[in-house]
Amino acid sequence: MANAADARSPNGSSWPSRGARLLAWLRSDRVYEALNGYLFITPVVLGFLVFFLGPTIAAIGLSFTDYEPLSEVSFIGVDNYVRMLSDVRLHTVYVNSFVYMVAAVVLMNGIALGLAYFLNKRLPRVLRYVLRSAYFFPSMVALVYVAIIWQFLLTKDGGVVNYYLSLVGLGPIDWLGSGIGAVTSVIIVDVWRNTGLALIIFLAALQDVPDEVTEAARIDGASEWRTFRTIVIPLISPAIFLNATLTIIGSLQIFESILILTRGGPGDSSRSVVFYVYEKGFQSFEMGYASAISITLFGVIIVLTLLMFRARRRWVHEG
Amino acid sequence: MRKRLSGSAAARISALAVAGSLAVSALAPVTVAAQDYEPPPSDIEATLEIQNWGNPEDIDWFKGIADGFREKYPNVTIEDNFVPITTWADYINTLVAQVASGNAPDVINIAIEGVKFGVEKDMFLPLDDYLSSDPAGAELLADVDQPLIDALADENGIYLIPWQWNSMLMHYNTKMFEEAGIPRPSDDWTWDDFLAIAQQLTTGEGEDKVWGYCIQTFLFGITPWFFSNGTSHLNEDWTAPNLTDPKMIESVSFIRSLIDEHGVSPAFAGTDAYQLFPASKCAMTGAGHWTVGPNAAAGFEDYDVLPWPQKEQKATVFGSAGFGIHPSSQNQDLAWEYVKELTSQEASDSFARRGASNPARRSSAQLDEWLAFPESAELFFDSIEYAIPIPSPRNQPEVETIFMRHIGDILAGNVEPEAGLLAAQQELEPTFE
Repeated sequence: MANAADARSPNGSSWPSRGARLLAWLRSDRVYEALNGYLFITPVVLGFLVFFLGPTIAAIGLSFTDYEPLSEVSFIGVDNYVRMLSDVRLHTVYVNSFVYMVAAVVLMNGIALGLAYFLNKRLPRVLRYVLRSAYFFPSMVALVYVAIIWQFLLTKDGGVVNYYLSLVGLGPIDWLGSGIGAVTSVIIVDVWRNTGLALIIFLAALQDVPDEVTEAARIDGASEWRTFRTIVIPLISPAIFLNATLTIIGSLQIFESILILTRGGPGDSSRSVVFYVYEKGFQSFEMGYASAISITLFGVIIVLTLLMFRARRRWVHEG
Repeated sequence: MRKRLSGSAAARISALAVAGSLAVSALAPVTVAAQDYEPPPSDIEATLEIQNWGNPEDIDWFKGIADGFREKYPNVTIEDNFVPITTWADYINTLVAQVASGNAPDVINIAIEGVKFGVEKDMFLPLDDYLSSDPAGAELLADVDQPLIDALADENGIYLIPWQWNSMLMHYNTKMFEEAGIPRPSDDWTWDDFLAIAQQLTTGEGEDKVWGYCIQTFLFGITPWFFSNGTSHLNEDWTAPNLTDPKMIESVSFIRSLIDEHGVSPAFAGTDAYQLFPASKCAMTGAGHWTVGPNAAAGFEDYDVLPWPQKEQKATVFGSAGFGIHPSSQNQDLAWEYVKELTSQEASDSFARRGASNPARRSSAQLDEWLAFPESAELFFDSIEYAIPIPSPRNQPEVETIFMRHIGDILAGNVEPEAGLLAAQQELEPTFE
């Protein structure tokens, strides 16, 4: 009782002693460190809430409405999702997006791995730095400029690429006006621009491969190709997994290069799902339907990413 | 078609009524209406927000107008939300986002393409009361041709005060014409005349290739081919697509034939006519007055202009832009004063001297600076006599997106004009419901 009475303030309140205890608790090392930690992650958490979780929840909500800006909003249940089943254009743009994805995963990672392997060889240091910067340079240039330059290069009549093709008796190829040409152009620009980033990741992984392992293989008589296939590839498989996953996610969101290069045309030949979402949301002002499409794309990306992680156990060397 | 060219009859009546009341107030200055409007006091403190568009080089001109306004209203701040123009859909979307966020601008600068959409979304205050009650209102429209006013009005009133406009004229390289011994065609030249000249001027191969004509890749730029054939991509009251009209099929087939049959035009996709023409890689192309300034800046002056070649009629397309006031503005009178400043004689003259688009005031288009170049510069403004407003329904952004997607497919040779236009018609019809 005496202790309890001592803990009370002159007016009978017990909070000063509680306050003192709280202060002591706050000053303890464990709590102090935890608070610091929370403070450090607060900007990231806030950013996540404001720029990711909030918009995602809003998009899910809007996908069940017929929302158009400055108009009354009505709840329409799953009508937008049902509409997608009969939207032929949506099916086309999904096929296009998967074509971009496959092309990006295969070409971008294949080229990046080949170049990284080449750069990892015994090249003069200066040459290696120059080449590494050159390969990475396209990733640093604003895509708007990149696409405009490529449009200039790929124009059928008067384009630089067709000019050089004509010198060897080829073409002209309608890079931007034909269906196959437009898709090919978008893939070329996308691969050209993003290969540098994948290359840096592969190069870092290759530099971690112990020289003694590859040298031992060569001493045992393994060819360059066999060493690469059976020793290097397994050892850098985590990097391959990382690049493949990033490429899948990125390629399914391809947008800017299409906007500048082909605007999705001719027809819908080169239109991606994200471009279609932009068109429905910001040109037709069908925000509800655009939200529903974006939610399905979000689902597709999550499923593919989960499949990648599931398959990881089978082929990624974790040692 | 021609009958609708100068706008709806109701809009005309409305405009005439306003003009009539203005005329009356001019004759008898002491009227009730004239006493109704009192400009805000010069010491008023306020901020006016303007939603604005244009080319980057227009920013300084707008800043000059704002500085002039602040001499009259020194305690007023002008916040200019200037958006370099890309497409009308993007600009309208920017405007919608701003209004939807509860931060509607006081003054809106927009073109005919966004008028019906804006009216449907209650984005414009009808200005008829101001025009009739402010003695200065009469002067604002007295110098503006009626089609330009009608394009920014409907049966309920005038929403925007015109400040600039453009029409498509055929630009031709005078040096190439001279070298080929081709005299300037008459102003009533035909599609056949045009094609014959384009064929004659298409020369060379590879890097030496010169095209007879470069096609525009935007809707406004190809619309004169429809109008000059007596048709349009929408019906007369802009309530439905008109793409299965045989004349539309004929027009689109003609444009396509310039590429694949006659070989006088480069591929549609990826071609920038406004780079090729000043580089003398195209003998002819369509444009408004907006290219005169950039051509001069590029040192290119070997060209003149002609009316669009005719098939069924002498016609081209025009689009006008104006300034309006958002109904939720807390400073409507002040916004009206700023609209007057932006559309004043002084502002219009200084705009014309810059050599950008056509000024809305006819007198500004008669300035020596305006008429100095090209040689037939007067044709730009005179085209208002026969030009048709660009069809601008409430779903105009959607119409342009869908129609031009199919046009791209047709002109790339991926689908026949008839089938492509039918597909576009079927896709567009539900968007008008």
